[in-house]
Amino acid sequence: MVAQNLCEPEASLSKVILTCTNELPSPTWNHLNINGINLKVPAVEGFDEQAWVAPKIRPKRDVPAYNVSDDHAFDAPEGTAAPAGPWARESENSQAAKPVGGMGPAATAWLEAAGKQKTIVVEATGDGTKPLYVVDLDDPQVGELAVLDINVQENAQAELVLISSNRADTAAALGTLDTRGWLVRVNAADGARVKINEFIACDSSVQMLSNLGFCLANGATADISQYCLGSQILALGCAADLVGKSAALNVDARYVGRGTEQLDFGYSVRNRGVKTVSNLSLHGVLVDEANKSLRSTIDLVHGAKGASGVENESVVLVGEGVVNKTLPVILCNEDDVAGTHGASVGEIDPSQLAYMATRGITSDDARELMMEATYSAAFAAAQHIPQAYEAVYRAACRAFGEDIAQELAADLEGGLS
Amino acid sequence: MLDEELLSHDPSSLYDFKKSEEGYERADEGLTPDLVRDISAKKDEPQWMLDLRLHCLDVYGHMQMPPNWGPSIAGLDMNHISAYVSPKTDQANSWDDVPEDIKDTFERLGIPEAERASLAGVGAQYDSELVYHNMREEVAKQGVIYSGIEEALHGPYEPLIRERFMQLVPPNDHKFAALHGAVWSGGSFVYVPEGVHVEFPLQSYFRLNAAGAGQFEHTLIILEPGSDLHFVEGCSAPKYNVANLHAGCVELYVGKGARLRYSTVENWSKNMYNLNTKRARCEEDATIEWVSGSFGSHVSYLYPTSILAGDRSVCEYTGITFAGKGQNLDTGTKVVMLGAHTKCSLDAKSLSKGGGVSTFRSAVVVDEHAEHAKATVSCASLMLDDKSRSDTIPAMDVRCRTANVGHEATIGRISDETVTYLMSRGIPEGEARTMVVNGFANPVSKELPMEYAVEMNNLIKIEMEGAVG
Repeated sequence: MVAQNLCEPEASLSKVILTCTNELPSPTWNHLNINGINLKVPAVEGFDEQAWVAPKIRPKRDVPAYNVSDDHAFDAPEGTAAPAGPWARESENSQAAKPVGGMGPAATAWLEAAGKQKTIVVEATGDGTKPLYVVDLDDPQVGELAVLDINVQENAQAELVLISSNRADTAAALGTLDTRGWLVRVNAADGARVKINEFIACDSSVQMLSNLGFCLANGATADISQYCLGSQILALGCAADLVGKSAALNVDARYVGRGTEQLDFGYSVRNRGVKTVSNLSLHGVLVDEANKSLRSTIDLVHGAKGASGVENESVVLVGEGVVNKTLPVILCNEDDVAGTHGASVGEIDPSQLAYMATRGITSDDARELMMEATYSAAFAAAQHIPQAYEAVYRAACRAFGEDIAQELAADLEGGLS
Repeated sequence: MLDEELLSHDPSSLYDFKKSEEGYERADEGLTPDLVRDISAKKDEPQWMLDLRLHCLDVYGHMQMPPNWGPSIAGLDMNHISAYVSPKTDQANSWDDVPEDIKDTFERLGIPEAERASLAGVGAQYDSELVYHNMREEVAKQGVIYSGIEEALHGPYEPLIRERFMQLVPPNDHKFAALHGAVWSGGSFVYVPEGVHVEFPLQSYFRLNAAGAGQFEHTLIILEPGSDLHFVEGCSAPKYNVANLHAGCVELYVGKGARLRYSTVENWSKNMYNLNTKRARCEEDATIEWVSGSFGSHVSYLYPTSILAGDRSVCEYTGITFAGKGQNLDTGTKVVMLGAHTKCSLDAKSLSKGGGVSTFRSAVVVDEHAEHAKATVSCASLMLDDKSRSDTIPAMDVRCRTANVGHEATIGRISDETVTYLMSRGIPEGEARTMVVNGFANPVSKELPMEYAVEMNNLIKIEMEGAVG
């Protein structure tokens, strides 16, 4: 068994399996069931699942054959073996500058087949203003499955808000999950800046696919904030190719998993250009029997002199039945780089609990506060986008009830005044 | 005989010297049931062991290497590996009774000298067989058993061995565990009675002299409650232009409140595929300490695994891996935390130079019953040039709310400022870099007995400068 199955209950609709979703570029022991997931989604015209069943191949990371004598080599080259993960169908060091979907080739192909497609070209305005694009999957004009390709031209800026929050629990009535998702590919030219705020605030009737890809040229920057507040199954993949000099990717993801939700995060960043910077920061709270996996990979590619990569995750475990899997990978093929990663998984720090106890906050209250903090941050990020604000509010109501949701919203307004 | 010695490829190496195989028994290449029966018959084994061997061979035939991770072993052709090579000498308990060329080998490696100075007992394996085994009388008087495992199979501990042999590492664990089970030969059995503390370390040293051969020793250590032991393992081989294979197996049972330190300085030659398996099970309040230095081999898969079954059991892992030219060393550790209040502290260092590939791979699995378990994982990698590769792949699987798991890792290079500072004090650049690397490795070397710390520092020097001065 190579990949963990993240499949919804059996349903009457025809389904296909997206194999190797969120797969690690550099896999590890298969018995851990952590290398990737298989995802069941509705069959759609134009998607052949068999075409995307990847043969299991060893990543091409082997040392060149060591010629102990001139006529003998121990290990033959790996031939045409390609890396696993988002770039599985490409040469590892391909110079092609195009974004690929972070969830992997199969999920990307399925979304391309199933989703409404749109391409946006963002040009520099000259006055520093940036256009705002809102993708709300509850908007009938967008649809529940969306494909968006954005070309941000030289020195242009763009802001994108992605919202998935179902108002009506229709799919549950059919005994199946409603599959929603987006594929967003961003190609940022020299000096371009992209800001993305992503709100996933669905109820337990939804399976959500968030598939992001970035290709960043010289000096281009992408700042991504993600708020994952609900979805029975969430598969979120993000791949970034930092191909240009001083390109930078910053990810700040916050999540709360509750009930029997299954969250699966996959990040894969290739620092290819010199002085490129990647920062991945995730903070989460797991309640009840929530199950979460994180695979993050920073690949410091040969030639990326002066590059740096940082991965950080903190997970607070609140529920008795939670499962947390974390796999922060650094691949390094360059000496003049700095790569660090850190992870902290467990209860709230006892010293923090003791401090809060002196302020009259019980440990149960403290755990509640940890969850509420995620929603507060989401409210703050959503404040200028009505659809996003409503989505966060709905999620807060589901999590805490209307009174506390109003309090959280009021806290934000109070803080703003 | 000394005059049979062949010149080494690299006269600067302390380890790369060869002895003639003339007169040795060498099994035909390839793996067959007849070979397995032949090995078993030579050792006059009980029927259950032969049955196990044949079962393992069957499992080996059906298993595949993992297709999607780890270094390639495409250059290892099992049809050209001889699974059994015997120097045809009886096991001795005095170095005077060991054949001259073999004795010379171990003297050059410093084993008899170390035994006299600081060891409670020594086992020396040459190719597939133990050639020397001895333990100090005062340790034997404590009731400690330290013998060849084959010898122990013919004594009162046979039922105990049968109960434990290949239970921690079952044949279907992976393909080369199955291979090991089929053709194992040599290795040590250690039994430390309840409450006994062995003051000095026991050591086993494995030398693979034969070209194109495999070494498959099995080490089984059982510590009864409250006992204490430090076991040291060393290994080396001369370099050939054909592949050699090491697929040993280590099974460690650490009883309640017992403590076992298992130290390894591995310096196999760079034509070696080191596909070794080590596993320990700790009962309540027991401690397993792994100290590991990996310097040799062409390809390594090595992940000492600790099963913390008992409440309050502890695992400490301190390891260093140095991957130089032509090496792909995939090393690390695994810990499975089952008991409440278990603790593990994993500290790994790796260095890559000359195009070598070093991968740190780990797994910390915290079971749902491991209340208040605590784990820390720290990994530091030093890149010594821009031709090499260093990957860090740490997995954490936490299923208990009250557990606490922390992980940190860094990858970088020796800072120019540090080297410049040392050079400004009159230290040549090469020496300055070696000093920094020795400092980087210090947390590992300080955990080793003096002789082995010196050996490890020499190995670093060899890798850094190409020779010992």
